[in-house]
Amino acid sequence: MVKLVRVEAEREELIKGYLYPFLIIGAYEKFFWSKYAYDMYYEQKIEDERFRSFDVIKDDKSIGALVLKNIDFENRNAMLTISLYDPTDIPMSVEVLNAVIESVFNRFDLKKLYGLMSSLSKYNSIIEEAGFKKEGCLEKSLFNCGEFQDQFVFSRFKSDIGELR
Amino acid sequence: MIKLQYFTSRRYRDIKTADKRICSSWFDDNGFYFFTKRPESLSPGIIESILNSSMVMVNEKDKPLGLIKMDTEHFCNTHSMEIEFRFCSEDFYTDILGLKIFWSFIYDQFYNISKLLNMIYIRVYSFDKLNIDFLEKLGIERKAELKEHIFKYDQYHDLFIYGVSKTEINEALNRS
Repeated sequence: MVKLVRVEAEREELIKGYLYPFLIIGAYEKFFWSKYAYDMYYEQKIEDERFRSFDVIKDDKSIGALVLKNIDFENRNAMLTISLYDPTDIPMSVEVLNAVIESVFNRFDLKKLYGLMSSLSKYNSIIEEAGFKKEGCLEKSLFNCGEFQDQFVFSRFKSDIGELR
Repeated sequence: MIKLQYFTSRRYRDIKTADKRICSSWFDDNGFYFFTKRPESLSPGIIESILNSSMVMVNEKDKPLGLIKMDTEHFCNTHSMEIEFRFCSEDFYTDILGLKIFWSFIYDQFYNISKLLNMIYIRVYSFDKLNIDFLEKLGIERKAELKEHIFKYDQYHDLFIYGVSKTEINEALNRS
């Protein structure tokens, strides 16, 4: 059973423990921040209504983190970033991702989730298996490991969930 | 001559009330969306806060020509930025003046303001035919199409992301 638990202010220390070293897929993957920069970012975001961060919990054990950015309640979409401890186990990751996404759609009454991911990321196969569709490619938009890399824009609609089943 | 003037806190107060009214009136236009979420939720306060953080292009007589808003949240990072722009007159989209305004902004960003900048993304909505035609006529490439991204006129519309890279501009400058 996969659950999402909102990261509250008093649990700040806990989330810092695992978010800090490998901050999230997408634009910030392998993007090292100083502790001061991270603290500033976190304090700013925790008060932002359009930002929510969650622990992903399976069988009472934390297996990753999920962050929703730019939640647009009027147009009913949000930017998704997710980070799992063990993304090499693809079937399990896909199962977790599907469960988590369905939960997000229901909790926030969203219509669409979208996000960005480096073309070299190990999450690419997971995202495709989980039913996300590519909506474009932003060429050389991410500076990572000393070079510019492409980023894919991917998205998934709530209406796609029924079709996949 | 075209000047680029930033609407930032102190400067915004200096702008004449008549010009502020002109800028606010753009938000009544049906084709105008501009980072505003649903247009029916706009209030004078929200319009003012949008204008306050936007950039206004004016000519040498200080007459507003258009508006540019820079976003720092969706697809941008330290090497790229995201903008949305709107000219105040429909004629500029087919006129040479429109080209001048657009390229002066792009050139200013790449060569005068940020040397790190590699890419500028332009957000255009599928109902905004003026902007789409303008960018495609310039040969700017469409990088992504985000389906059913915003809600307006009782239905969902797509969001198109166009991109201009610094290398393209460099090549064009070298050729000329």
